[in-house]
Amino acid sequence: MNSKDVVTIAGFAKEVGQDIHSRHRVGFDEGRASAYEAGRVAGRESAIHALAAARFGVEAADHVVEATMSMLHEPEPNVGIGNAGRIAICVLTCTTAEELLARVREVEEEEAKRDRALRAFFRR
Amino acid sequence: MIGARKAGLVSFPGAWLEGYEGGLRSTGVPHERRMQLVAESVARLTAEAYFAGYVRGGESAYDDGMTEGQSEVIHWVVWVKFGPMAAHRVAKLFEWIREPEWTARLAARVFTCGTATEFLARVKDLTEGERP
Repeated sequence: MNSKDVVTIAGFAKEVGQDIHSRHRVGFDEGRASAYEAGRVAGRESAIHALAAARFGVEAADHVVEATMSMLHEPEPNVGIGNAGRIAICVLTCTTAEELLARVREVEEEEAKRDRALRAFFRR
Repeated sequence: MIGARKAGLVSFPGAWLEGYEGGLRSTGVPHERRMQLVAESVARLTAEAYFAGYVRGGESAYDDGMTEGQSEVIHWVVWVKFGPMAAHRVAKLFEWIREPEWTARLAARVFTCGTATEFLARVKDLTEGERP
């Protein structure tokens, strides 16, 4: 082993050290983004549950959250109202839990119809 | 102990690799084998550093996201029922109140209050009366 080898290894180690640090940073950012999004979905769920429980009781609230789970997991728009906001307003405006669930189904159908129209447009 | 060792590896991986390679050299491990071991360590350290960062990044972010998600939903309901001023006040409160039970109590007040003034007064009682 000559001194040239040692210098090369030291240089390599320094470079690799910086690389590993940058992977730590990437992991930190990705972990943060992922946990934040998971927390956000859980927060929407708990708020919808709290509103529905206050209005229609805990049992109905469990049912509402279960029925709207897939909608609450969809990404929210950056501007304007998203699914969670619309469901929350439904909780406010509907007079019974049944009416609320029927309205949620309507909204889901509207979304599916809009989605199909959008896909058909881009397929043309 | 193992955690502290790992933290050291992640904090000073360059120094650790240099020391590791030096140790292998001093015990007479041939050059090619040394390079192979160093390369394996680099791959392992890179994966460990990413994982450690991922876990660390997620530690506080979940609670922040939870507050944001709750705030988004309550904001819309308050906006529709009591108007933008009340919604703005509630959104501001969510910036410093981090208790899930608080959202449930706030949600109940959305339905029991009839006007924005009454709602804001009840929210004020809720924050000042039940919190230090």
